[in-house]
Amino acid sequence: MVKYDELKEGQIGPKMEYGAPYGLVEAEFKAYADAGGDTNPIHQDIVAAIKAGNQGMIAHGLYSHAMIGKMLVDWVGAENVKTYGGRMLGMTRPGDIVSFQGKITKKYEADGEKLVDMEIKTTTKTTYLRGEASCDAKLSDDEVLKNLAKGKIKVAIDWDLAGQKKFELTFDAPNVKVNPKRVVGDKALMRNWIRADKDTITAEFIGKRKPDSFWFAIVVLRDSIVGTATVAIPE
Amino acid sequence: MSRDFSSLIGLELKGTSFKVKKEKLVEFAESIGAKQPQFLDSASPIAHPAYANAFVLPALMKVTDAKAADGQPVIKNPLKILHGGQVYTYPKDAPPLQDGDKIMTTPKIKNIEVKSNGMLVLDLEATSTIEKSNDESKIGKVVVISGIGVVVMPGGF
Repeated sequence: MVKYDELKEGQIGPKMEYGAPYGLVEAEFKAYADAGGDTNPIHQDIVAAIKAGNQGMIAHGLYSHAMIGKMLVDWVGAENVKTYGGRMLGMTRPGDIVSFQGKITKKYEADGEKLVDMEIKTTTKTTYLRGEASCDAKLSDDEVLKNLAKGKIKVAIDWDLAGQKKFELTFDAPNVKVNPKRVVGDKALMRNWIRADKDTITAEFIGKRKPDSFWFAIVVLRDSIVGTATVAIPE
Repeated sequence: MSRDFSSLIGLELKGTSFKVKKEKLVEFAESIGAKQPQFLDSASPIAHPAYANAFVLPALMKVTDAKAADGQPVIKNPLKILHGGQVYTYPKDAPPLQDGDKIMTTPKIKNIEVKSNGMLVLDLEATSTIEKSNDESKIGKVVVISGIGVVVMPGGF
């Protein structure tokens, strides 16, 4: 049970993650579409989504929006949710993991209720490259991940009239030796998808790091909904 | 020549009616992973607050009916519409939504302008009111007020 007296301005209130650990799946988008009544095919059919100009199926913006509502209801109960919502800034795709959090900006009493205002932030994590690498065992985890996040991707595609002939992906990072036979990337995401000015590119280990070899993922963090909420804290 | 949309500010669009069905309330709650029994009770569920998505979205699409001063639709290509944002405000005395309730959602254009980046931005406010219910005390009560941001990309208006 949340206690008003224990909440402080500036602290993180409710938190939630959705899609972990393996990422959201298409069936979840369809279940939401059927229940919520938004049956736009871009949320259920990869061909329709691409024809509409997307690079694959995307989740409903209101799906993540509904999850903010869920987070707040789980925190204080349905009758105490006063207002929530915000701007939709980025898309969510199959395979993504979405995290939600509310940061308390103000606590006050009004109309006989104890209220909390929050900044709401929804961040979508997209994994777009996985690989195996080795490095000097003396490098710390933090150093390895920082080096991986500075890595450069090169994509070579040869086409013939029958379609794609060869797709070659290489990934090089400083002080890390990437096994070129064990790098896998999402082709759809290679095409002008990352917005360097708005996205955060980072790296993480897949499983536990051995001293000199490991599997890693390069992930992109993107704000998907940024907004506000006000809830009453029950007595 | 740029089109004049200023006469649309304050315009109330045609409302949309929506009937609440208990099966859909449970289905929606399950789709977002809600665990509270009041949303999942198949005999008599109440609506999760986020269920507003189901009846507000059709009202949002009514924006495609709006016509500018030149008599032409404001939005000429609905495929160019982006959902820019959505905020719900629940009045203190809003009753819970249940099976059989009928909701009327009426959107109003609060602002409309073409931004410097060439996008048309509409701010709508939609009020959702119970117009029919098995519980007469709920009739006329506002269940949610929605602020909706609609963005139309260049070429769509």
